[in-house]
Amino acid sequence: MMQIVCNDEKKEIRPETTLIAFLSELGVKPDTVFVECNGVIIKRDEYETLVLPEGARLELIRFVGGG
Amino acid sequence: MLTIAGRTFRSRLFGGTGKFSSPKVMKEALDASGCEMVTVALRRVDLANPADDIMSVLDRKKFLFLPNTSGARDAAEAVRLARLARAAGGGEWLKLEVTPDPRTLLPDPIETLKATEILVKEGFIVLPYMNADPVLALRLQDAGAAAVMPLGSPIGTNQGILTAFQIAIIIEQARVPVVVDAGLGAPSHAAQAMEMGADAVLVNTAIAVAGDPVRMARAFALAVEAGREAYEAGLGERREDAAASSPETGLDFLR
Amino acid sequence: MTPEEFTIPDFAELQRLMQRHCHTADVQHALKGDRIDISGLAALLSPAAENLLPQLAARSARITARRFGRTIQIYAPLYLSNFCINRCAYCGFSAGNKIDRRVLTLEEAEQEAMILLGRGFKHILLVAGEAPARLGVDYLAELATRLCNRFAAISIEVQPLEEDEYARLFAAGITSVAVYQETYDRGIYAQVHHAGKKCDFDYRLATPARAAAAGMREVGIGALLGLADWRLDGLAMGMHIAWLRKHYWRTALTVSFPRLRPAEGGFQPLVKVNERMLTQMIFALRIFDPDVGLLLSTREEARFRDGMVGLGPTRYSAGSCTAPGGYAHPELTGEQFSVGDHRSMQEVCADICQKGYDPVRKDWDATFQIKDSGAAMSAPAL
Repeated sequence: MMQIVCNDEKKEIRPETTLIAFLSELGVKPDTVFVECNGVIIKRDEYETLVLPEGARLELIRFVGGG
Repeated sequence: MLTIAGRTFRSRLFGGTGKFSSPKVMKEALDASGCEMVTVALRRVDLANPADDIMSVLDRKKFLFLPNTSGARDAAEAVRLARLARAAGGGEWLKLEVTPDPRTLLPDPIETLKATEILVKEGFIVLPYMNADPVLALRLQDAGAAAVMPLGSPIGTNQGILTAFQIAIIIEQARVPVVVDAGLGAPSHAAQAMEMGADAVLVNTAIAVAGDPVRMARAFALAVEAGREAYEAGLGERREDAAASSPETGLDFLR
Repeated sequence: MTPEEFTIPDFAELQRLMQRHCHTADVQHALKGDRIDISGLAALLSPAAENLLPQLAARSARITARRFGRTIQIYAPLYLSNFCINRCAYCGFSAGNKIDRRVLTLEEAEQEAMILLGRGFKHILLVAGEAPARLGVDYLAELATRLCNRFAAISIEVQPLEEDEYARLFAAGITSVAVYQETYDRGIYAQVHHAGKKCDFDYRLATPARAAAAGMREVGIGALLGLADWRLDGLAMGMHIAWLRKHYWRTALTVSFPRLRPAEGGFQPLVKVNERMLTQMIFALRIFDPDVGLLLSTREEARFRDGMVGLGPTRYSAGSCTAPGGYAHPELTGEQFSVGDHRSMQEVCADICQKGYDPVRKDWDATFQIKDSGAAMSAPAL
């Protein structure tokens, strides 16, 4: 197992975990969020291929209600 | 018809998506309002409730999303949020708000102007939320803002248009559309803004927290339409000073 | 946005606009509103407003007092040169006229300025015919540099220039630019401008915007009354003012209403504009734009100018001589036109005071003008 940080929470993942797999483990529908990994915004078509590196800092962001 | 940055809108009422009791009520209210543009905020996914995606109830074909930068306290934070919003598929449209004072949520004019300059260069369609300061409106316009959004009164106060005098000057001077935002607590406030010649109004709280948000949304839609109609029809002006019916101004010197 | 984007509808269209708003009710409506639009201006300029001239005067006076207080700004023209490459039917300087031509040396110009300063003027208007080979931007920049610390405001009324030239003159201390379209009626314009660069209607039309774009504090427009339909020229000036306001909000605006005066060449006015018409035009533009400066020069007689104090105009010239060098040498001829008000500045000011108004000789100091805003911004705070 290895550690990453997602929205400031520490998470344990197996090595070679892709972004899409991580999202699905969290219960997040991939098309409702977008992701910043180590400060870089990840394009949607890279969700399936991006392998999360050790110590990655993820930001999961979505639109919410606001005025 | 209202045109902002080349896009036309049939409705001059813009909606907000915050503070509704449920996504269902929000959707029904926004449908009833007839509005075509709604503001949305950007937030981190709540990992405790990861499936909680209220925006999915809204048809993106029907509503243009206007992501805001709420929460930003300075230009740098606003620019970061704007870039994230665009990456999130929010398009180029942006309601820029920079509110360093958490108590009043009043916008910071200096940081707002700075952020506008940066974001316009990056290709955003920037609609800055601003205090009702006419010179600031012109500076934002000159910096490339697609519209200006002066406040009627502070966010969420429902006080109506306390800044009428300045908003009138902004409407008179601006080349870009003027959208009165914030503080509109009743349909009559929205009607007043439209009668003054505002191009549109943005309403969130007053609809979201109404006893019946769906009916209130309809009421605002009607008020906006009535106010616009009155503006276009040409209001009978109030007298600002009593004019003598037989003026004493002497013109005897004329030949 | 570029200066060239401003266009003026042709006069047939302006005529139709006026005809849609030419009823007494339209005039009464325009007199009620706090702000009127271009159709309201059309009503105030229409024949229907003639019967309501006292009401127009009262409203104009109230608006003027609210915006400008009980003050009249005072300035004097300083004629630098009467050489001109243009042939304009109405102008004494027209290239074909046999008049004594001269261009003041910089020293002579300075001497004239010192005479005006000695008479109490703090605001001067530098005037020259269009002959850039004899009097160009270098000349004006040098003269402005020499004068700007001694005068509160230095305006120019010379040939139209390019934006970068205006920027250079602003940096040298020129505060404002006056350039009059003479008439906004293209047909008449072509008829009275026979030769020279001035024949280019559109270049001239874009000139006030170029000056504003260059950062001038103030830009003046005007129409020469006696050429075309004054009502429609008034309407066109309203449109011009409104457009300039929208696009160059940092620049203050003024309007002039020179009526044709007898001049070398013996040109007879194509249309008659009497005093009542002139006042209607002044009142209408004042009501249309409460903030615009309105000029009334010594082309008009003392009686008329005294009568108009407080009713709309905000700036008077005084003690004017329209021949280059004429302040030092009153015997010189070669003037642009003959003046109608021969009082000295002191007499004009005394009469203004008599009416309960303050003759203001300056309201800005050119010496405060930041010539290089970048350097000023980086200077240490006081």
